[in-house]
Amino acid sequence: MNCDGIRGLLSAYLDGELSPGDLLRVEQHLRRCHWCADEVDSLRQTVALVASLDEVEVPAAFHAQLHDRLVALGPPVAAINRIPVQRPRYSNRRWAVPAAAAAAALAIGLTSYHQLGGLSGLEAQRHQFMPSVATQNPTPKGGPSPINPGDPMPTAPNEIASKPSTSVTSKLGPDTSSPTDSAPIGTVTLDPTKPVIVSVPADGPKVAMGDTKKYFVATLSLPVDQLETLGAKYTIQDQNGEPFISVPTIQFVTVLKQGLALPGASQVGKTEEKDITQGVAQATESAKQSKDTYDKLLGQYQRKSPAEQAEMKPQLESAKQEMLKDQANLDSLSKQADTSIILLKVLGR
Amino acid sequence: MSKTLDELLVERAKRGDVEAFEQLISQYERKVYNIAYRLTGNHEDASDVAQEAYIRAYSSLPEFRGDSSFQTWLIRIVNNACLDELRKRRRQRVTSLDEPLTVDDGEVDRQLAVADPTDNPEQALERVEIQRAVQESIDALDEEYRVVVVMRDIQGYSYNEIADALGINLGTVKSRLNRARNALKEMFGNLELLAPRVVYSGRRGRTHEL
Repeated sequence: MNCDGIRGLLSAYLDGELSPGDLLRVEQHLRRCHWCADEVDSLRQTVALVASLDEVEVPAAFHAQLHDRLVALGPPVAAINRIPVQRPRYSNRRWAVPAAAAAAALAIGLTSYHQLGGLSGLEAQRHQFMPSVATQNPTPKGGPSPINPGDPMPTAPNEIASKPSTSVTSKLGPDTSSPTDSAPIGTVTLDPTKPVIVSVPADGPKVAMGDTKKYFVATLSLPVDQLETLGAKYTIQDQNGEPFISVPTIQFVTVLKQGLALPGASQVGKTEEKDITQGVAQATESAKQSKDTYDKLLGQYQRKSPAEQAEMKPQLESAKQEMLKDQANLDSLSKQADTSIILLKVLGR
Repeated sequence: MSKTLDELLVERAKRGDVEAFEQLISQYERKVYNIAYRLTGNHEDASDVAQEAYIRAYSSLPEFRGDSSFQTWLIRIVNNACLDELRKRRRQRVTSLDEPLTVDDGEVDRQLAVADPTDNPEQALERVEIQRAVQESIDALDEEYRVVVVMRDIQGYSYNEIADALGINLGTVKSRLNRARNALKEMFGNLELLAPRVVYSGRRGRTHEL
């Protein structure tokens, strides 16, 4: 082999990464070609120079900075699964299993679509949420129609269709090709950066949690592809109408009043409940306090001279903002608690 | 089945336990920081990049399924974060070896930093200056080449590990490393960092090693 053929192998030769055949060729060549031998020597020195670089110390401030940033991030939640660009339609056979599983799970009706702002400071879209315990046994005797999707509410498909943003098209029940066809009961437009609110009707299933009035925040995290176990079907697109490569995790955040149940939820995803009773009490208290503060300041303000009033104005204004903020916070919490709203929060890209 | 410490820490970190995550990465922090430092060439950028990489790793924890070791997974993220950052910077600022070296106390011409060529190279360049020149040469490589050199010759990863971490095939690792080392060899040669091999010139131009 000539030098040209050898030169490209010399770097790997130094690392002992040549195949036995190449190794033999290089060794034979190096014995008679001093140019290539020189080359090996230069490369060896080059590698040695690079390797001679001292290891540097991690700067002292690094850890504290990183810690603060990590804490500020909150728990990692963006689970992303690879999915085919276009989800295949389910055959009857494939559908049979998730349908049976869904029988024991919960049904989601994603219907009426309208904007609902301000909840938890997050702009959200509101949908009706109808958890219902399916009546069918997991080993169905009849046809696969395990889920009662509830009232197939008038949807607002036009509004959704006119928005080619990230959308999840959700259907309940078996595939349209299956023997017991059920019409799609809703199309939800999801923006992965914003939560979707699914409200639970007041007559939804409830579980007695004892006499104490308690508020719970429950989160149910499950990958979108688990939605099929719930009987929902979906396609996901990004803002440009391109199919999503990654499936974001959907997180249901429920505020349960008196322990509203999510039947079967624990079977399809991880649920966590958090008692927010104290949070509600605290929000009530701070709203009251900031209102008192503002009222007191306002009383003082009204008794002052115009010059003094001008001086006091910023203080009064900031107290007012504080009061409004606390009030909004309380309103938001109470609204969640009172309507048992479920946030369907899409996390991920 | 018993779990390794890493697996337990990953589980806790996935649930939002920042301390568990910090314990997890503490085992690799020198390695990670040094990769970032050698890829960026200075502490400020290295800190930014390493932190960015950790943030990315933390946020992506739910994606970590344990198919590879945590270290492999983390290094992959670090390298990708570094590469992204370097590409971003390259768009903003292109440097070449012809530009003057910037040192803490101002600018010096690259040739001055390399010293008088009539001097003995070993004496002419202090260790710190050699290191600086080597780092500057590494900085001058395109990031794809820089990263393989750093991983192989500084961090000591195998070709397989590099291929795995960068998501490229083994042949690409070999050819990039070969090109990168040859480019460095040229630069080091120009900077007179390479000692010539002592040879004896015999008759008819034939040379023999002593």
